[in-house]
Amino acid sequence: MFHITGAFFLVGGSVAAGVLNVLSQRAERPSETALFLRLIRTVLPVIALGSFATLIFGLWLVHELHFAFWSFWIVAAIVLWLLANALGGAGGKHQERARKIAERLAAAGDTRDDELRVILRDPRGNAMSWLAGLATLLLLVDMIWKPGA
Amino acid sequence: VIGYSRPFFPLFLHVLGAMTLVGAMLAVIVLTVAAWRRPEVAALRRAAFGTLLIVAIPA
Repeated sequence: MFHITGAFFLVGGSVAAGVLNVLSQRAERPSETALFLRLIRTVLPVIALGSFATLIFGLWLVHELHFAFWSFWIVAAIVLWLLANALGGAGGKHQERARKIAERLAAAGDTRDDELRVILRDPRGNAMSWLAGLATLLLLVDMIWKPGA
Repeated sequence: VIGYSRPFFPLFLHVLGAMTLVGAMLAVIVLTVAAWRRPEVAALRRAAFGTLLIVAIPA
């Protein structure tokens, strides 16, 4: 139960962060962009709690249910968990940079410039967040399908 | 364990839909609380309603 609750926190928090990220990119004014990006920080504890709960209770379940620790689906889940966290962290740093630029512009006239437009549409920075979401989705597929179990 | 006894795809969609709904409602709560604290920012109210319509209801 705690493992599944953790998974709901992890995926739910990631969905909420994704929604707020999309809203920040579509905002008309830099002050609104900065506000949506600041709100992402309020859902980060939910993602962190879910992330650690899924790992800790997941490993506990593997032990309790006598699954082999080196089964393909368990190794794949741990690799995807690490990947999702690393990519999510990199995407978060990109959003922090965008937030700082948006806050600076909001204080100086509140009009968008090319610097903010470029960082909000930066494919590499955005790819980190979307790939983190993809890794989380694949983690869910792996947990339900259990290939090799 | 639950996955063993059920077909994969319906169960996957069911769980994904439930998780997306939780995430959408979390986003709506965060946006609504922010809109309540800063009533002068209309974008927050629009975003909360849009999230409910586009993400939460389809989930």
